[in-house]
Amino acid sequence: MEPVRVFLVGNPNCGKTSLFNAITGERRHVGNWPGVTVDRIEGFRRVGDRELVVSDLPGTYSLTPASPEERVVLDQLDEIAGNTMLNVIDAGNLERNLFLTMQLLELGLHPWLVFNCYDALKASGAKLDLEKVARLTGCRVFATVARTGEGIPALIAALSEPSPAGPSDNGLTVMRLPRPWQSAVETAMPSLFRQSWPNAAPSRRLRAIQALIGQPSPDAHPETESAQELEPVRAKLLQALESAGECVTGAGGLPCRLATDRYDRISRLLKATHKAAPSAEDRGSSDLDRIFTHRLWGIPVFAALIALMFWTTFSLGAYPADAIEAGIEHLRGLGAAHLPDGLWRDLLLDGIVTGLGGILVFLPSVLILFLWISLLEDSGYMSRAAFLMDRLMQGIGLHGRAFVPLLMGFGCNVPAIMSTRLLDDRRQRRLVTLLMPLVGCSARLPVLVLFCGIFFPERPGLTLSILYFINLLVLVTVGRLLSRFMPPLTQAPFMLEMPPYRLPTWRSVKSMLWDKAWHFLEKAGGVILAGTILVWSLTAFPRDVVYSRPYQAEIAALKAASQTAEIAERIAGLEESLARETMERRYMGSLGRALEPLVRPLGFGWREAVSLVPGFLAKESIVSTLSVLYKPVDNDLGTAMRREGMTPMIGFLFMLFTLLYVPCLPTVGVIWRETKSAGFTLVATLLPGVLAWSLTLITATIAGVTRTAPAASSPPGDTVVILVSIVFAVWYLVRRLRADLGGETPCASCRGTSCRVVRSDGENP
Amino acid sequence: MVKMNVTLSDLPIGETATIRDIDASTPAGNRLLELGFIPGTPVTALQRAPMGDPATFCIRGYCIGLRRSESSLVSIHPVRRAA
Repeated sequence: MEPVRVFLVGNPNCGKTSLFNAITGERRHVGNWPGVTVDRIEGFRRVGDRELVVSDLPGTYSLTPASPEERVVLDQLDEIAGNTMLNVIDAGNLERNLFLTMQLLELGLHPWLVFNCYDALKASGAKLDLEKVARLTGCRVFATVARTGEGIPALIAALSEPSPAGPSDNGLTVMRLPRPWQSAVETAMPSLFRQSWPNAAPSRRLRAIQALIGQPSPDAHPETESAQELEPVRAKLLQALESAGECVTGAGGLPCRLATDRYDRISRLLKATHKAAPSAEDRGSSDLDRIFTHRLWGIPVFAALIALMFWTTFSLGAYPADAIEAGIEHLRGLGAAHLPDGLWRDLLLDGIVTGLGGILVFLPSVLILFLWISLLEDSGYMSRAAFLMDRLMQGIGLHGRAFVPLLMGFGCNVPAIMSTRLLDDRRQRRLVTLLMPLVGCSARLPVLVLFCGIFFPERPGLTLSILYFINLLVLVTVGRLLSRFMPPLTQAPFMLEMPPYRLPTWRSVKSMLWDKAWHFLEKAGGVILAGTILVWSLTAFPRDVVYSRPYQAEIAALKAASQTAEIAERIAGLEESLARETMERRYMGSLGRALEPLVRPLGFGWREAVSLVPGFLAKESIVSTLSVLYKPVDNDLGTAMRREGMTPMIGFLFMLFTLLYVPCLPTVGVIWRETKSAGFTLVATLLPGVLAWSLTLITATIAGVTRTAPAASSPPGDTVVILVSIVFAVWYLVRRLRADLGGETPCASCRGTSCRVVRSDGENP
Repeated sequence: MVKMNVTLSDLPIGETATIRDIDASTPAGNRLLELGFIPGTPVTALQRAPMGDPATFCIRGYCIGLRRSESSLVSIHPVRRAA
């Protein structure tokens, strides 16, 4: 049997995603801030022998799109119209939500009206006569509470009915365009599209209405732009409206008149069906806002929340991490005792167990961080944070809302870059995407925690804060420079809805944590494990190494001699040099030596140089690589590093470098997928590298860092070559950026035929 | 001339005014119309962000944050002094 296609349409934050999850049973995260759904998402549900294919579309306030997300609905309007459309309406915010409904009805569509969050309406003491709504609009009407599942079975049963009852046009005329408007668009239609109103597709009807009122649409189509012939129609409409006693003056003009008419229709509908709550104002919300968005307390409270968030992530996360570490150590011990000596044992213990152990240890921290993010999102606080931060973000040329992706970036850059789609214009999205790799994600945390623990055992927290502060400073400086350097093309309208505060439900938090934990382990299981094995094999091959002196023979000779303390010490010394030389002559050593000139000015040794390579696959693997590489020197990583000449200062520089140096492979992938521009992706990948290198070099020079131990003095030529390449790279990046942010190039990220950038060039005054 | 035109951005916090007119020639003005900022609608200024901008407004039973650049598109009838 044909599957039933169902589309969910509605305002942002009206509960579409919750409803989607409730219908399909799918686990998808739902936040209490606008813009969680950024693209069309499909889910399935089988009812008896019928299949429901449910599509969740991005939230939109109206059919005049203001962002690429809202365009998704418009682009698919004709397809949606041919199937079942669920117009999800937040029952706690009827008037504004019904605006979209009015637009849909005007086009002759028959959405099913789903009044969601119906419990909030009932709890407030308000009443809504659903039967009467159905009668007046001619639509099927449902009441649901998606978060608890109330009303969902009835909706599903109706959706899977063999043939959904056809729409009745009874009373629909009340909700349609009033006569003067309707006759005007019907006159305009043939001259625009050579089609009559009843035959035209809904998207064309919509464009005819927009052309008629001369609406400033970001989506102007060539056919409707030369709408000179509409002047007489318009004049007639104005005359008709005026004779009906409606005054069309002022700056608003026809668009204002039509919007007013839509709201008038909404008021008529609500007057007949809705009994308002005794007290319309939500007391609880405004009380909380008095603290959270207070002029004086707002920012300190926000800062305290963020501080608490990071503090719990690091210090509470340490307890389970210790337990996991002990477990891994135990496993290694077991393996070492029971497995036969050889390559496989080395692979299993030194490659896989060590590598995975190094990742699992950070699972608690990641979970705590995401617990916080999901609580802040679900409660509605994120919108307040964006409100507080907007002015600050304006300083770096960004929307307050951009604060949210940037904050999410501290968790993981990958979803954060995906969430930049909630920003209105392309330039903002690109700017945030470009800045994102400079946001220290949680994968960099292992390196920081490790080095802080080793080199700054007295003040790990302070060191960490200093590093993050420098990170923030770099972020702001780069942002400022970029926005100074590329002034905005269009000032994106700033509209930030403040949803009422909601208590986060355990169901939603749990599903987010489950999602993140799974994502993290999947990454660890896949990319990182592969990286660890690669690193291990580079350290394990070639098996036969040519040594500078016959160590084995010397050791054997010494062992044969008398057992004095002095001899034992010499044996230990020889074994150590043997191990070190083995490591240096394996492939990894050669790779490290090749990379070393690049990082030597920064004070790093070849092991650090090597660890940065798998660090590109996933930042967490820097730690596991270092522990594999330093193992021959000493079992304790800290002791090994100190013995190889690392100082606290170099440790600090290494942390700084790792914090900034390059986005990880999955991030690069996602940048490419989102921007569809190889050049931009290259810039976004290299820019942090150049920055990190220069910044670390400057710091190293100021601090006068030299690596004490086995450092061979670098030939001065190398540094010159590196400096010249850096200058060249910066020059190239600047040129690329101009092209990428400048907007002369047609924008590849737009799915549609036109976008704001193109329009601003082609627009007639 | 500009002084004569009192806009939403001038509305003191805590006060309510009625919308007189709105400049719908820009996408921002148009979006405001769709969000219910139409002539005759009462709107309350709720709160201003710590750095002076943006501010939150309450209209038609919901709250929204607007920057000065958006709220200045909405003209209001001058607020009458409380008796």
